[in-house]
Amino acid sequence: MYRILLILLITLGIPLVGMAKETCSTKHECIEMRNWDLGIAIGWGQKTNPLKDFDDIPVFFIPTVAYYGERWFFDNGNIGYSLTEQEYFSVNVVTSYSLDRAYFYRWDPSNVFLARSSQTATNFTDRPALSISSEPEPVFNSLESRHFTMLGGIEAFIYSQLGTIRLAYSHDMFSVHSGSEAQVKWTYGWHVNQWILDLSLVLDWKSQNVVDYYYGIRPSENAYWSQKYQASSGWNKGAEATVRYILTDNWDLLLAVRYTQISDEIAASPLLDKDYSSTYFVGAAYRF
Amino acid sequence: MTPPQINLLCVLTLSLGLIGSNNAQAKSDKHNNLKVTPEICITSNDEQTCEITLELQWELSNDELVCILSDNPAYPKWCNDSLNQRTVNIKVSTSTDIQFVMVSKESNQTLAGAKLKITSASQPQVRRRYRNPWSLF
Repeated sequence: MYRILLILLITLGIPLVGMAKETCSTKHECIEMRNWDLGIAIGWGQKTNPLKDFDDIPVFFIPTVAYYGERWFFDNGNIGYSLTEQEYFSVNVVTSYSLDRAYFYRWDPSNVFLARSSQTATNFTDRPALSISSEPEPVFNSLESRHFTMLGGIEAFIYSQLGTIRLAYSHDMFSVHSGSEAQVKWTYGWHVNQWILDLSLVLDWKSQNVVDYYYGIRPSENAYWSQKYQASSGWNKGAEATVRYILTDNWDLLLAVRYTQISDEIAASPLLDKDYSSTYFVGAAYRF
Repeated sequence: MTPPQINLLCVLTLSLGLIGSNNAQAKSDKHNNLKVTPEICITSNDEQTCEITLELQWELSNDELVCILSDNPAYPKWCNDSLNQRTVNIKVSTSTDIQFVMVSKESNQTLAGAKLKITSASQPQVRRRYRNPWSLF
């Protein structure tokens, strides 16, 4: 709790560096201030689940909810405060939530509006795992809870003709795992006639505490593997692309794909049987 | 209820009466017409209030004295005293639309309506959006 207070104090205490008047140029990278931006994309997609014996996650629709004030903003679950917003860079204090919990729970924010649980086959004891070594098979009792938490931290965007770079660092605000995450993300956008294409390459760092909390084995789950697997920090690598074709002011056709190569440190967890997660979605998006 | 509120209620009632009028009535009123000039006033970034002189002009199928009301309390009921008078100029200062309704002075029956529309020329303020709205998680 004290971390939230600390972040708020820092936010309010930091002198305002300034806000450039024109910080976005094209319609698709701007948002109208003091106005809710609501939208929904309906279609079909799927997110593969790297957790052993957990179902892949179907995606039927994606909501988008955003509100930007003078400095505060809310964007799809993230709350932020812009310390400075210039032509070539921005710095925000921001909250976020971990994507790792979404593999375990249906109602994690990352899985909002998904059709069925990602945890429909969690009886680990019924399914012997594929094991190619002489070690005991990673067979688990019921998994203990992996709780939801919010991360709070700082992000910086650097804008250039070669694209946008996001640098972010955040820390667990509720002492659920007391871990930290960091991100380096490069995004390049094309806007040609009715087509909008955004391509991103991303590196996600997760601290040892984060990896251990989500992918570590608790003694009650499997005594042997709780000792055998020792979590350590790691970098996930990913690429994502979003293609939109503008039909009208309100309607877009949408194709989104994402591939994440899970770090070796996480993939070594006996909870996983894949070292990647891929997601795709194709549909129509409506902005209110 | 204060006099401006009563005035507003009166105008609203009359407006609803106009909307609810059936085709037969519309046919009988086809020569009753109230026109406001200009119909649209555009405000700028610096000047959010529209200060303008409006001309209200009307045509009637039957000569009669009329009164003109508005939904803006600053502009109370005005009535003419001469059958020959078919226009009136009024100075307005407003940041919102004004609905005018013309009624028969004698019967109070609604005859026609007209609206001054206020439009802002300033573009909505925008800022950079930090998340792709359709990013996959």
